[in-house]
Amino acid sequence: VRTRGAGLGVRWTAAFALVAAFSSIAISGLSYGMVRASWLDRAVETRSREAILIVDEASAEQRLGPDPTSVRRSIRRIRSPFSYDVAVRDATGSTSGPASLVDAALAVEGGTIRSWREGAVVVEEPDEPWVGVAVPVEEVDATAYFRFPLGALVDDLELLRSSLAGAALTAVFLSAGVGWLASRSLLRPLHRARLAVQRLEQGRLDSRLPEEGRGEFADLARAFNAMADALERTVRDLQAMEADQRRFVSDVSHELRTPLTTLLAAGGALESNASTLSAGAARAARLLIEETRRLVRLVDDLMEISRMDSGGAAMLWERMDVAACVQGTIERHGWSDRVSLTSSGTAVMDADPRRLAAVCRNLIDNALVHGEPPVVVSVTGEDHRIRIEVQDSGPGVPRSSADDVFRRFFKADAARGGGSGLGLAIVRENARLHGGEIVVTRSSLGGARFTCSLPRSPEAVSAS
Amino acid sequence: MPSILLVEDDRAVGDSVTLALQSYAYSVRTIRDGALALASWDRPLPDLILLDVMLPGADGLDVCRHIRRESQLPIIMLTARTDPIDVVLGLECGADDYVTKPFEVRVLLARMAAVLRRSTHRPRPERFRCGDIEVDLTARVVTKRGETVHLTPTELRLLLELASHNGEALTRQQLLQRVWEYDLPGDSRLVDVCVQRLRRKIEDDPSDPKLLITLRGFGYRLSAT
Repeated sequence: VRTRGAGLGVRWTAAFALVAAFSSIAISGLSYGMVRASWLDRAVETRSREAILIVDEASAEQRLGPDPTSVRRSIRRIRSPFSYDVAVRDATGSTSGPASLVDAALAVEGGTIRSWREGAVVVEEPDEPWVGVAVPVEEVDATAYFRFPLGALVDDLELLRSSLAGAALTAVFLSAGVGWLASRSLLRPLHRARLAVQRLEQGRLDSRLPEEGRGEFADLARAFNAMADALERTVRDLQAMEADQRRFVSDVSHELRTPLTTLLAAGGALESNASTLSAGAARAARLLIEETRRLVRLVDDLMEISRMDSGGAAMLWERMDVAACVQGTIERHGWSDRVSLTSSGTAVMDADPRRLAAVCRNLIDNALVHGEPPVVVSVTGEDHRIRIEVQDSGPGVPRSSADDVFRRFFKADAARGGGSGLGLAIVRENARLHGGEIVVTRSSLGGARFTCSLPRSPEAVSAS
Repeated sequence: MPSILLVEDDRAVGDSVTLALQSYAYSVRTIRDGALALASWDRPLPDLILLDVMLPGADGLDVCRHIRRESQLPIIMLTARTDPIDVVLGLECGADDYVTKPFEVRVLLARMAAVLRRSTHRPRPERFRCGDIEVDLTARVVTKRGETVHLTPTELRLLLELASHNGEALTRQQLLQRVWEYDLPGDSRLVDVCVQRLRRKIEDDPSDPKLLITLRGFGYRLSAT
């Protein structure tokens, strides 16, 4: 049995991977943003402080020149752990240093530089963000615009980003793996349970699940085992009962064989001396002999059916002609005046001759006893099968009991006896042993039509 | 009239079979015990033995084997058992035929007549060869490279039937009809076991037969060489 669509294992693994992907992307993104913001904040703070320190130091150490150029020169003389660029602009608008710095500060602040004085701003030019800090130089009424590039920070952020992405990817794969393993260990008991159910289905009643551990699967295993125990017990009880019954029938039939041998032999002795008996005694002898034969037939049939039930019916296959077999049966029983045979196609098949003869005899016998003559037997050779039809002119079989006639000791008409009541049951078993089947329908002659269809070779039997 | 030895332990069966056979003019001697049968089956020598399988003293199969060592007398087993193994075992002990209890007297009579015919039947030609095997029917002697081979009447009849078909194959049912004179489909194992027995006596290597050839799913033929 294959699971239809994606299996539980695949879905389980995918779910694990998906959850891991979502959560790791969210966590990475969030932490990246937070780290970046805090790093930038710190950079701005340190750079602002540094810029103020530089200006203070420049003011303290030397007398600042009146023009922006000399102010800028004084500022640039101060050493700093950070690399920076600086522009100075005085109140008249005269500028020393890169004008772009001042322009940028003005652009950022919408034309005024006031806010720059209050702190710093991060200018994120593509590829190279930098921190801009405006510091007023009060002695000369000018403003110094600092530019601290953040190259190292960008590299660090880059590193952080790629390692976070790597970690996220690893997490996805890891959790997919964990999901797969988990699904395997979760599905293993399920798989075991499926195999156990299959074994049970195949008739192996000793199929059980290990009940180790606790949890749902152990409960399932216990429930399954309890069910299997009950099933096995019931089936074994039934089998034992059936076997007992079968053995009983077989034993009884067997025990009857010895006295029946005596009865038949004594009857034979009487028969050969019939001419010396009085009319009454001869009639009594005939009754005795006839009923003995009936009893023998019944015991034979009982033995046969109990052998079939126990699976001990051996097949002795031989190639034979079915039409010849039917013809022989008709002649042996002296039925030629009441039974006719038509055949078409070659009717050669592999069969057990004695069983096939029993099929023919029982079907014709049934037609004569429960139907009416004339009885017509037709044998038709088809490609792979041979069909034997026996039709009679009697009352036929009502549709409602079409299956019942093959039941043991079924009597449609209690007044008509004769057979053992097992004839048709034996016919059906024999047809099955040949891999064929038998059905009863209405005949165009008015009576019943028994149609027995058999495959030509036992290979077809074992294949089906 | 032919004399019959009936080995049967059940008194009622023994008496009734004796009565029936006597009414058809056979003379019947009855032995009820296997050990007794082993000791005195040949005093006087009967024409045919009816042998029950289940016997006190000694098993019917043992009795059959014992008799076969000394004689090729016709033996028909009477068996109440229909298990395939029992039937085959009985036949392998050398019985010519078997009848299942309960049996119709006329069926038993027919089988007896057939097996008796086999032991007295004189077919033509009187003499023929088949490979190393030489058959002289006047003296009922079979020799293989000059050495005498002891065949039961049934085995000889089977050999003759196959020989008279010049290498043509016969089905087992045909052989049952012609050799055992069965008039309805019979137990083909009878033929199989008899063929095996015959092979052991006339083939150089019974497991690789050169004379008695099996045609799988069909029957047997005698190689014409």
